[in-house]
Amino acid sequence: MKTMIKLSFVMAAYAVVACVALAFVYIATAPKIAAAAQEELNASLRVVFSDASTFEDVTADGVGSGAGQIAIDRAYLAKKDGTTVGMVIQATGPTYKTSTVLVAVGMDRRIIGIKLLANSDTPGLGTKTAEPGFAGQFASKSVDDAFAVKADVQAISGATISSRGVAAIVRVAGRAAGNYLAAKAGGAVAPEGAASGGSDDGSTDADSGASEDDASTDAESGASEEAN
Amino acid sequence: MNKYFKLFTNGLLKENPLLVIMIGLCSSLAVTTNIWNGIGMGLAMTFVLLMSEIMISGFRKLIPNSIRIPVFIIIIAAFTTIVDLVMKAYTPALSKAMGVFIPLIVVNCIIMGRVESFSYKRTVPESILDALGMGLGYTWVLCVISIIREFLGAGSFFGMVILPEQYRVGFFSQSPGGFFVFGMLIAIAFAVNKAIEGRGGAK
Repeated sequence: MKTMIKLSFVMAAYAVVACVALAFVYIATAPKIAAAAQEELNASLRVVFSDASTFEDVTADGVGSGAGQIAIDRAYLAKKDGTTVGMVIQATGPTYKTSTVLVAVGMDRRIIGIKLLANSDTPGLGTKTAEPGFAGQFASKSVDDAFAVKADVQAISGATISSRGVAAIVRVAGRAAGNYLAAKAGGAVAPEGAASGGSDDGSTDADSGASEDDASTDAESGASEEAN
Repeated sequence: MNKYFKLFTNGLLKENPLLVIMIGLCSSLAVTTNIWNGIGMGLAMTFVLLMSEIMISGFRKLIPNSIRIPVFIIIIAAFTTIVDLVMKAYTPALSKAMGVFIPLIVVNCIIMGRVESFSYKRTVPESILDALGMGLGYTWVLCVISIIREFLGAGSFFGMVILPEQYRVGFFSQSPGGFFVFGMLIAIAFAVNKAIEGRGGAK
């Protein structure tokens, strides 16, 4: 019994010393780590919003969760010298398989740019939505546009479904950003009669039409490094 | 040969943790796809090994035998966390490339093995030399594997592309390539050790 208590105290003493040492290191490195994480985020978001200098996470601040099968993952206010200049939303939705898109929207409810982050569609067909020829056409469109393929969005031939899916994600994310900016940051308000949320989003990918080959071909390739 | 010098050179080749004792392999195979990862992992590992051996051999009379393993783990984990935090703060890209393998240094068998079998019984100076030898032995093997894998798999040397795409062998960037290179190095180390032994015997 006596040895047990003695051993416990010895053990506790080592643990306390280790914890105190770690606390000091943590306090010393925490601001650096936060700055590095913020810088990484800024760099990744500046790809779509080159004008902004910093980004503030407002995901939990009533941006909405998306519409239909399209989910809003994260939302950031883009700031330049302390004033809000727009918003970046990361949304994921069904395309041929699924895509995750960053959508940058300015204060005038116009899209600044989009970037495909993850795209599990057919390589060489559906993945072409990430190329400037397709992704670039969204810039300077108003978020209240219809984003209808073959009308105001030029589809990729052979990948109509992917094109539609990405356009739908951009529409949902763009409107969410426009509405958030109008409500909270003094952005331009949606014109009268504009569609508000895109309640028809789920249907865009339900169309038939096998314009792409089997989705099973795009299973993740390249095994990751051994984990043990 | 000086006794202390021998302790140091032991880890480099004769008792190299990776090539001869063959412990701590998981981290060494996983991160060695480019040279910076190899150097970073090797130095992180050497630091944790060195500090843990110093602490444990310094306090070895104050660590009761029956709870020595938990105490070792507390000490090793503390130093590993320090390395992890420092790398996250100052080299975020490297820390990202290593991912989970930096925290996993805690359970790396090289450290556990050296601490248990060496520094718990030896003096501080001996432990320092053993840790440096083992750490550098680990690091140089990692660097050699990384250089070979980076050159053949990604066609580059220290990040500079020198091999055009069509001559690269993607196999070497993947896990089997790691095993292959590692196996070759074991064979070479075995032959070299044998040659050294043979020469020593002839004298």
